[in-house]
Amino acid sequence: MNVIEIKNLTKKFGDKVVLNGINFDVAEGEVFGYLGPNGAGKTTTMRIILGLLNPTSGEALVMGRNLAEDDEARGRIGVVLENDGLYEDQTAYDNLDYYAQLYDVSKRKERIEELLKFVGLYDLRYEKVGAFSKGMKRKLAIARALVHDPEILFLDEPSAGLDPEAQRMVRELIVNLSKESGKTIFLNSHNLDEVQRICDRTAILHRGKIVVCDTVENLREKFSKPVVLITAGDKRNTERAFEILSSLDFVYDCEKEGRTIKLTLREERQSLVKILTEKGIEIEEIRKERRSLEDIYLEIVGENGK
Amino acid sequence: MRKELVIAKKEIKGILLSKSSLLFAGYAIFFSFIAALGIKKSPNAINTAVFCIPVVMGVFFAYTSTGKIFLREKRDRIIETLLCAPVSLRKIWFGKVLGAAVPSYVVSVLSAVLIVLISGFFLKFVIFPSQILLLHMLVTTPLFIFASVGLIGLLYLLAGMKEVGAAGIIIFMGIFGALFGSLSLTGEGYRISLSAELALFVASLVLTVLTGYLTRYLSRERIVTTIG
Ligand SMILES: Nc1ncnc2c1ncn2[C@@H]1O[C@H](COP(=O)(O)OP(=O)(O)O)[C@@H](O)[C@H]1O
Ligand SMILES: [Mg+2]
Repeated sequence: MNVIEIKNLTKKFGDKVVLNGINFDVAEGEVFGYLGPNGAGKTTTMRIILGLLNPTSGEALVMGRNLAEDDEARGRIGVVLENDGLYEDQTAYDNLDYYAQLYDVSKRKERIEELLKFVGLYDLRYEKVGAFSKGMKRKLAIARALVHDPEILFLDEPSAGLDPEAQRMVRELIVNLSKESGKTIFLNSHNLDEVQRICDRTAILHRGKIVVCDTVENLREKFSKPVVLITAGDKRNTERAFEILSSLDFVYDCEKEGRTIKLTLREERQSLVKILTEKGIEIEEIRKERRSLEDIYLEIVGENGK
Repeated sequence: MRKELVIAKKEIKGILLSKSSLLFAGYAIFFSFIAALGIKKSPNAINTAVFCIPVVMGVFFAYTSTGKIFLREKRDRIIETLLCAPVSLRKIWFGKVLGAAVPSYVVSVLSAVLIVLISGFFLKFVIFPSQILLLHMLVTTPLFIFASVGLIGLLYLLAGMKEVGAAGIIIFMGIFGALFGSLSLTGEGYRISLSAELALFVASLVLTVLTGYLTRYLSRERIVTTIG
């Protein structure tokens, strides 16, 4: 079942188009990584999903509802936004207690203590949050987001701004959470490595569009295979080559664009030219390509950085 | 507990533990002392003192508190997390307004009590202001404080950070205009006339109704996009 549905979502700020008709779904229990370089529009998307911004057109539904107008549905999700949303002049305990009351949590004390133990901050529960390190604050924010046992957790760049050790701890926390509770987790990230490590599925946002959306496993498989680009002499040759190549058992995927055929192979083969020339097909150009998901993402990030 | 009360309780606790509440307790003692010196010369002046000082102290304190409660939370983007909670915008606004208004009213009542006590100490006998001032302290002052906090708080939520500073000052001046305007209706010999009291009461009522009407312009998008 899809618990998040994004349909033709567009968002403009004045003339600036930030999201240009994006679509994707997130299934129940999934850890979904929403990936894109800085400024791509991840936070904007999350704000629209959470009802903090209105879409210019299209819609974002959570459990079939629009969170902007539905207090009850908002009570079934938890959030850690870019800023942790903690009150620094209050204690860790009081921060959680405030939200426990706002979310109508019963048996608040037990729940809060359980969560503080879960994130390893129980001993510091009566310390003011202002004295906490960034990593501790992030963990406390995650505990706060969980205080009412939400069905879906939204995390905006949960490891951003943390030192490597704290990043590792936060990621571990997310993985454990998903394993133990089976909660749906939607997280924004600009870090492909992070998404590959902790997410089940990902969508890459680039220039207001979703350029890739698949399971991490499928993507890894797809992008780890050798790719060969073959350009045939003319249209007729292209058609015939496409037919022949499609039927080969070591070909994983075969796409045609103009006179160029893009082959994804199950394994490296040297015999392609021979196979085609034996069938009398003229080849203009044959080129090997080896592009990993990292390469593709780096291109996107690099372009965005300009 | 009702959500607006949860919010109000948290804000009140924060205000009472802040340094500015100590500072205002100091102000209250100082101004009551100055007023008492005047009352010692002409005891009737207690009426004007209780008419003005408590409400001014209350509104000043409210102004400082509103900045903390609405502005700081918005500037630091902490408010976004609160906006995701299952609480309506009106309740968030109302809870915060209560949170600023209640301690401000306490400051106000404290000033009135101090004026009576300190002037009693100077005069060697306790005098009370006229009965109209009971109405003033129990009805008009809390309403006036509530209306001011409500309007300034709403503005902090709706306006951009740059406009807020300027607009806050304009509203603040308007509020004091109302106060001193009604004071000019004061009768002879430091007596507070009923019309002066009513003028301030009506001004507070109008301000409250206006603010209530303006809450329909609250929207999450407005709050989130006027932060930067
Ligand atoms: N309130 C706003 N007004 C105008 N532009 C905005 C606003 N919020 C975000 N943007 C722009 O939208 C783009 C996407 O921002 P954001 O969603 O924060 O990206 P990300 O989270 O992927 O880094 C940025 O270019 C940003 O400047
Ligand atoms: Mg962002």
